[in-house]
Amino acid sequence: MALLTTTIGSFPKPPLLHEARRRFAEGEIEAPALREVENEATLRALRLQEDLGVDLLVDGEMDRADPITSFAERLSGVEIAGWVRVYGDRYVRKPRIVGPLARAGASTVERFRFARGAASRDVKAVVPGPYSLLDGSYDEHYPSRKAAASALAEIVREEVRDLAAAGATDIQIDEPAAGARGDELPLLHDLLARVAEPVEGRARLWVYLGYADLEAHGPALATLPVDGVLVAAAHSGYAGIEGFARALPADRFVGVGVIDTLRAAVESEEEVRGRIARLRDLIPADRLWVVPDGGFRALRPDAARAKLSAMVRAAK
Amino acid sequence: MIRSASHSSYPRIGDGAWDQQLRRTARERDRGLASDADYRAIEDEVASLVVAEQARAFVDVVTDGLVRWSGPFSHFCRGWDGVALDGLARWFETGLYDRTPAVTGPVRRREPVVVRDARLALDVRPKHYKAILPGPVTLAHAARVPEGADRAAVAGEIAEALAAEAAELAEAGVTMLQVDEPVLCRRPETAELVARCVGRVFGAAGVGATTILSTYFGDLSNPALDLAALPGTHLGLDMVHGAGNWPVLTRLPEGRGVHLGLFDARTVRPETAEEAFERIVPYREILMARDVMVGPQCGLELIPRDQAFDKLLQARYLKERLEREWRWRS
Repeated sequence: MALLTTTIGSFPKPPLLHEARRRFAEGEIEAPALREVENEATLRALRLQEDLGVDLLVDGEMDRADPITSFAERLSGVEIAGWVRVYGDRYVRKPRIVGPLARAGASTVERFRFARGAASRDVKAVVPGPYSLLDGSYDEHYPSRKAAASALAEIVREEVRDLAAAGATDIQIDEPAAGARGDELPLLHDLLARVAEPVEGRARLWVYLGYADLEAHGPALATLPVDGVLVAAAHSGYAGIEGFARALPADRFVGVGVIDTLRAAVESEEEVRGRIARLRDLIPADRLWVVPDGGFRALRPDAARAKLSAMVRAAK
Repeated sequence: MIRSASHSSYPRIGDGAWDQQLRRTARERDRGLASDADYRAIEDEVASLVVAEQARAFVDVVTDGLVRWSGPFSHFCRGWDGVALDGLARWFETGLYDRTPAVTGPVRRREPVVVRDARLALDVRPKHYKAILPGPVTLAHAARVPEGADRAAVAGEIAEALAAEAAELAEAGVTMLQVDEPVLCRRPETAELVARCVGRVFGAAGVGATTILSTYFGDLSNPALDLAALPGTHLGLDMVHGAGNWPVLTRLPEGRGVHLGLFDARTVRPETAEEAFERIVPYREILMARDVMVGPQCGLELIPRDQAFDKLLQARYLKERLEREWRWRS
């Protein structure tokens, strides 16, 4: 039985887009010109996924340098701080919460509409989650992490509601910070329940857990109140996957990473097939989705294509 | 004596055009437009500038910012046999990720890891240069070990590898060495192992060396913890996230110096030397009799460069005020 496939969100940005972003930052081009280059890059990311046979597409995040920062910078009460290293030679500009948070309007709906209109298959909308928005920011305003997370949950809830109204059938909440603090897993659970509430029965809600420690928190993460859970696992040789899989509720979809997106070396189709076989022993095939560990943003375009190709061929 | 001190890491990029050079070269390397050698040359230049930038804040004790470190878990594994790099993990609750060490056999040092870095930093001629090593027990606890393997034995092997590194650092002219053991705040039951392993590393640091056992992301308030048994001329305490460390000051062994982490290296919220001064005033009598360093409680690379520089400036202002107003007996 062929397994369904999707990806996590980002695709490598083409050199032309890097150049356009630089020129925009230096005032050499206006926003519509940058938008045109972003649209072209989005179309190329969609075509790549369609050509390779991915089942559920993403827009490739061509309009976002970093998902957390790009989402947060459109909120009032937020300023953007300087550069901070997050891993290896990857850096982000983290948001600073300096006042009451409020949303001026939808942040991801326009890009979703464009991608869906241009795609031949369903497109999954991707939104950063409230817990990871908090974790990825410096909070200088709210009296507690819980208060800040609650304000962010309200904003994400509105975004999810707008995406569903725009026709999104699959919405992914990115929570790569899930499990960073074991004692806050109940908070994460409550935040997701709030975010999910307006779209229950109207759209399938996924949560992407990033590189969460499945050995330490697998069972708690498996039971988060969403329709589907996506998790990186290839990078760690599937440490903790058994406990995570055992705890999954019977109605839960689950996407487990079979491609390590942090390593440039391309996995062979056979290697990926072996990883999938291991997962099929743990998770029913009608619930199992095949996904990469994370976004493809940091990979060279040829490596991203080769990895995704190996993944899709192995899944089919 | 009172000194201001950087803790360990420092932001390796900033907002200015040149300050972005490392990031830009990394991108070019990814696209095949720059070589590893190009990248390393920029790294060396950034490390020297980071030493100079800390000195520009008039901080007494500086580091090389750990600019070349791949991460707190992974960096030393490149010079050791018996350890591979596994999946991604967080550095405690921070936003910094690194590859997890996976122990595959006996851990043995194959080659020096930071000795060249120290030589280059000393070439910049800072007032006091401090070299940083990871804690053997923290590393052993973060590592994946084969089923049934003894983590304490792994920590012991890592300590041997680090002791060899410490000996070569001493030969290179390093006289101040810090070993980071944040795990001690989370797992006080490791104290005996920390004492044994870090003691082994400090024992190789050379006669008369200043040796700092640095703890952070918590406190050492557990009453069962025998502070006198902990090795080092100085004990590093987190006074920001370890509120329980204030009473610990009253239990410090006679003659032990302290490296007080008074400025929060995990937030961009502005802090002042005056606020820090008010917090330590009640411990004046205890502190004046000791060798004290003041600064941020952990590495500064968790915040942007402008704010990192400001934290160091505040540490310097605090030191200047303490030097002026207190009668130091050490």
